[in-house]
Amino acid sequence: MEEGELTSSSEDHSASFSEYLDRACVYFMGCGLTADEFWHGDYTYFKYYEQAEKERQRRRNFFSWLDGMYIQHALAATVGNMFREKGADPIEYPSEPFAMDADERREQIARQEKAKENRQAEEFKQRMTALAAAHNAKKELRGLMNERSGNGRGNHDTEPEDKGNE
Amino acid sequence: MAKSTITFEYNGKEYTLGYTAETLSRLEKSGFSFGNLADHLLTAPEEIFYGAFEENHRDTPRRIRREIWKELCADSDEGDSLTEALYEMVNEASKALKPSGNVKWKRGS
Repeated sequence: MEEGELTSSSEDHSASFSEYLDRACVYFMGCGLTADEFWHGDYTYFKYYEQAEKERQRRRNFFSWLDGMYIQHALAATVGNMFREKGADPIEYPSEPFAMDADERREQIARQEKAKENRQAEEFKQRMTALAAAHNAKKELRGLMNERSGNGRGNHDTEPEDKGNE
Repeated sequence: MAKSTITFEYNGKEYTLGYTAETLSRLEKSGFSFGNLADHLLTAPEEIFYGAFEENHRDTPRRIRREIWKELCADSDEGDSLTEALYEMVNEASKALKPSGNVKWKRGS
């Protein structure tokens, strides 16, 4: 099998124009045209089929690359974590898909920042609740201690009298 | 951009001449050579003109095609612009049929 670029008849003197058209037909059928459209259709539309095929190839290429990126993250989050150094933060798989364009990226960042703010607010609330609980517990303990020490002092005051009375 | 065609009326009938991949291929198979247009500059426009009937007026006999050709070329200025339009039509078709991509093709040896 010989492999090469599809060339026009003026560049490929070994093939007649008809042979060249046969090859062009196969090429354009690969772009989505039917044989009937190629041989009998309006050729001014052929370039759009060709451009659409290039766009499909570009997308396929991009999604293959994207698959590779996700696989890389998955490996890092599994195998990578197995070999991470002691004390190092664990590698996490992305919590949501990669942004496809600048607008989506902006939305994603805004969403992540909002989630971070919510998390911080929740942590702050928990800390405050814990502090309030600790303060209340301390207050209660002090009250109890005061109560106890107050009672104890009372006993001491009365005891000698009691003893004296005895 | 719309496809180039040549339209005219002859004996009360409307004609629209043009080319498709199939009629271009048929033109070559009938003996026309795209590779050596310079070698038959005098006969090429006439052959291209006859071939252009194949898309929409296949049933028009060669005799009528020749009559129309002669009539259209009776005025030399008209004939020159017709020749120009015919070359332009074939050139446009062969350009559009040429893939611009670098897609690989395979040919059995």
